[in-house]
Amino acid sequence: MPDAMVALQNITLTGATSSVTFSNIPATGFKDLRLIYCVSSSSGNQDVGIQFNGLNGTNYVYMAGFGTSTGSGNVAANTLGYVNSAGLINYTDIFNYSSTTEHKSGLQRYGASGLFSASSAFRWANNAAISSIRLYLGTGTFAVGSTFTLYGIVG
Amino acid sequence: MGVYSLTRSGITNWVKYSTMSAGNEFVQPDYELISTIILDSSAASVTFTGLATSAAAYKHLQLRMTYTSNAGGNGTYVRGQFNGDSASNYISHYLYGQGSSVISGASTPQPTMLFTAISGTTSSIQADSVIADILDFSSTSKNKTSRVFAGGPGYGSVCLISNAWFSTAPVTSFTLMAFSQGSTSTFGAGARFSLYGLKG
Repeated sequence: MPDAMVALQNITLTGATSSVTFSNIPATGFKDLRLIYCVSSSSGNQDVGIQFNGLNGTNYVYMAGFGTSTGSGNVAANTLGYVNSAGLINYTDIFNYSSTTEHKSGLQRYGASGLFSASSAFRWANNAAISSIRLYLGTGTFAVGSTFTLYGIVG
Repeated sequence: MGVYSLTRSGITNWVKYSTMSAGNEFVQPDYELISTIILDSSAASVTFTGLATSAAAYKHLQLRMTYTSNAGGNGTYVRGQFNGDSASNYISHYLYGQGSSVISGASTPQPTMLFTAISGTTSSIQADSVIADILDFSSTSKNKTSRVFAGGPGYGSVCLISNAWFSTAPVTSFTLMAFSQGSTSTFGAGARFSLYGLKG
């Protein structure tokens, strides 16, 4: 029986860059996507932005533990994760990514070194099949050595 | 047959392989799809059966589930049972973010266990998502535990859940049931339930 999770694309930065794009994501063969990235930033604490198919429209609800307190909020922005110079690791699962009849939803877990641990559920308010994913920083760059891997999951 | 010296020929670090597939051996995957249920029409529950045959191949199970509500504008949430056990043998603990605060709590012994948070109002195109791990599902000496990561971004909730089933019986079937507003409900057409096996 074949492995149900297959690495589709892997990017390891050899030069600092402000954005990374997974393109030509296959429309068939998989039901879900998993994106894992482990990054650090050249410019301190800031959000990691995400665009599907080059478009905005991702909202999410999160809960986080900050060490001495907890918090939860609804965020109407195109951000997934929060990177600092020390690093961020993020697991993002995107369900039914090639559906054309529903908004895309997903789950993510992430931790920013020295800041917090968080879980969130997100929704991209668009019925289009996802064919590309762009991660970006509004200010500064992802550091050399940052890794981004996209997996396909059969279902 | 000639006699030759690998050392003198310069090949000093060599390994003898017994097959022509040396270096290209099949690597057994660790994460495999057991079964997927996709609803053609709405249904109140779905059940994975025959898990006893999976016990020899896998150590743990993972469920990936995504569904839209079929509750007339109200969100659907999910409860589950193992082996059709409807006695009050389940306890759930949860950590639940609802957009303004984080809530933690636990159930008393119940006839079902939680697989999502309590839902709110949502729409038929805003799906909920769940990833659940069922650990050591075929053990005959331990109570069964599961952990759940679930979210309903349409109505703004995310939760982490741990479940205990107070039984040492191996899990042979797994049922997921739809609820809404405290009553039984249905999953909408297109709901998907994928069960995976993890080798141990």
